[in-house]
Amino acid sequence: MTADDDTMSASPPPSVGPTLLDDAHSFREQSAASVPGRLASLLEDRVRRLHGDADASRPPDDLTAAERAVIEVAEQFVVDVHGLTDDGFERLREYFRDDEIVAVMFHLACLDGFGKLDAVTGLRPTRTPDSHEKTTTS
Amino acid sequence: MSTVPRLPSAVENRPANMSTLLAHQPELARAFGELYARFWSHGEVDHPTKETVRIRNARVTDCGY
Repeated sequence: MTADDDTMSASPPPSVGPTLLDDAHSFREQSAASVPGRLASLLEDRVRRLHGDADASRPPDDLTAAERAVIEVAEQFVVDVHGLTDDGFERLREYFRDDEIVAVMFHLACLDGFGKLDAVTGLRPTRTPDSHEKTTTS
Repeated sequence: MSTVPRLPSAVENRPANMSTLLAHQPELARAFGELYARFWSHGEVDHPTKETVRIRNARVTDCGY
């Protein structure tokens, strides 16, 4: 799916007043300076969506319910594992057996751990809210 | 964050913990066990240093181990 396709199929942005948008901008700027990149990036996306910006990223519409459930848990696992809710986990259990969930979690743990290893060793490009692709060593 | 296990133990009469959860995937558990054992018993870094890192990680991430 291209960005244009995504934009065309997106629901109209919610109507919000200027005060809320100003608050959202302020919140984004504060969060970008105080939280890890992925969470800041997600907040950035949310604020862009609030504005109705055409380039805001969001999940494709053609995901299955199982894919949405696993994406929700995977994203929360990486961004803030303590924020994983029982409801989110139960949605995962609607579509996956226990042994499959163990495999997914182990996979996630490895990806998350080695992703962090890449980041701290400067081996991979990283994205920050205020810049385009750059390497951690640049 | 849940304070009770969200997945059941795969080993009869044993509580859910990392080992009994991984038992849902025996081949994975065996391979990981070998890797983990090698990590703790070999290498350039001494054991106290590894343990210091482990404890600090557990405290920061609120891990019970």
